[in-house]
Amino acid sequence: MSPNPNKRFWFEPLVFALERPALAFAMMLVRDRSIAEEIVQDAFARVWVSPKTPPEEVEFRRWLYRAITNLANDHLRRQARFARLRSWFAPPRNPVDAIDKWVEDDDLVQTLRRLSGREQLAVYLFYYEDRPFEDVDRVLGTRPGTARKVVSRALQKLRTRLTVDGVEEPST
Amino acid sequence: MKHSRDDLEARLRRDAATVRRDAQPGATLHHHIMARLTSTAMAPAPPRAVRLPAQLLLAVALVLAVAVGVYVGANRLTPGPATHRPTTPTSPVPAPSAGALAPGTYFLANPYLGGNPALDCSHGCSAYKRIIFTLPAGWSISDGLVYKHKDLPGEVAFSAWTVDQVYADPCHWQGSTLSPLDLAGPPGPQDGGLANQALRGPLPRGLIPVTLRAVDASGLSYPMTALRIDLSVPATLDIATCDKGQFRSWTVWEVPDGANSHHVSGQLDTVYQIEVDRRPLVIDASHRPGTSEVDLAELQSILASMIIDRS
Repeated sequence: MSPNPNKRFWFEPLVFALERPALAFAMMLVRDRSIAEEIVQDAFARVWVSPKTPPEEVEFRRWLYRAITNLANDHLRRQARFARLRSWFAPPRNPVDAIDKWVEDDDLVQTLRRLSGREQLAVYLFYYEDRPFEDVDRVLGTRPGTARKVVSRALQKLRTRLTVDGVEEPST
Repeated sequence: MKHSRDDLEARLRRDAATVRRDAQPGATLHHHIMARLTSTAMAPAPPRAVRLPAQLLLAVALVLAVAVGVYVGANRLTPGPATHRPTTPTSPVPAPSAGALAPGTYFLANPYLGGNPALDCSHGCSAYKRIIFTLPAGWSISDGLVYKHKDLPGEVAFSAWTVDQVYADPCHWQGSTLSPLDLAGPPGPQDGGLANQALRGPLPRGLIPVTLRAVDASGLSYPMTALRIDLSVPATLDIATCDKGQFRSWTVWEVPDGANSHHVSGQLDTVYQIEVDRRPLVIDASHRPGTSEVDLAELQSILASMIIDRS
C-alpha cells in the first residue's frame, strides 16, 4: 500500500537532514558513488512505502541505515555472484579508476565488509560521523554502554583480520 | 604482526575522511530522492521477489549473457540510463504570467527587480533573483500562483511572497493588529506572527527548521535554512462573513491594500519563511482536503526541486 503523503509532511525534512550521512554510510559500504546514490534513493523509497516507518529522527535513521545495509549487502552479493561471469561481462578498464583506487585502503574496506551489520553501523557512526557512544547507542537502539562494546569488538575483529602489510589473516 | 589500536584507528579516520570527501551530495541528489518517492508513491507495490536456486540463476544469466552478446555484436548497443533515474533539470525558462505549463524547469523572477515602478525595490524587498523549480505535467500558472485544479476541491498550489506584516485576525483583518513574520526561530515569538495567528489551527503552533537549496553568484549550491509552519483555515468558516469576503494571512510589501487572500474553508497551507537579506521571502504551498495523494506527492517533489537563486 502506498503511504498517505497527506500524513507525511515530516518525511521531507528527514530526507534533508539524513541524505548526506546516508550517502556517506552507503559509500563506506560499497565505495562507488553512483551505486551509493542508487542505494540511498532505494533506501529512502523503502522506508517511504513502509506504513510503520517511525517519524522520530533517531528511529527513522535506524530504519534507513538498516535498509542501506541490506541494499549494500544485496549489491555486494550480486557483484560476487556475477564476478564468476567475468569473461562475459568484463567492462573496459578506465585508467582513472586505478588512480582513484590507489588512495583507498582496500584491505580495510574488505575487512569492514566482513563485520556484522550492527558492527558496521557502530563503526561508521563512531569513526565516520564522529558521534559519541551515547548517540551510537540511541541509533542502534541499544542500552547505554552497548555501543562501546560493539565498537570494541569490531575493532578487535578488524585487528585480527588485518596485518601491517595489508595481508589478510585467517579469521578465528 | 597485528595492528596497534592507534594504527587501526588512524586508518579508520583516514578512510572516514576519504569517504566524507567522496560523499559530498551533489545538487541533484535530493531531487532524485524526492522524485523516487513520488514515483514510488504512485506505483503499486512490486510483487515479492521469488528466491531461485543459485544454479538456475547462473543458467539464466549465462543464457542472457549469450543473448546480450549476440545482440551487441549485431547492433552495437549503447547502454542507456536506468529507467527509474529522473532526468536532470534542463536550463530553467521564465514562467509566463498565465497559462498551462509543459513539464520542465521554470523560474519565477523576483517581481521587484523587473523594472515595474509599482513594485519598487528601492525601499527594500527580498534579496533573491529568482526561484527555480521543476514541474511535472498538468500544472498551470496565473499571477504568480502555480497550481493544479484551481478553485476545485482537489486544488494544489504554491506561490512566493514578499511579506510585510501578518494579520492577527485573518478573517476580521480590517481592524486587526499587524505583526512581523516569526523569523526568530523555535519556539517562536511570544505573540504575533503566523505562530499565533487566529483561526489557523491548534496552538502551540511549531516552527520547524528545514533546509532549502540556494545558489550564489558563483553558481555553487549551498543549503539555506527556512522555518516551516503548517496552517489551516477552519472547515466550518464561511469566508463570505469575513471582511470584504476575504481571509487574509498577510499584507504584501509596497502594494497598496495588497494581501494574500486566496483561501477557502478547510485549506491547508505549508508556509516556508526564508530569511534572505532585506525582507523575508515566503513560499506558501497549499492544498485542500480533497487534494489527491498523487497531486500532493507532486507538490512535495516540486518543493524539493526548488532552488533559490541569490546570484
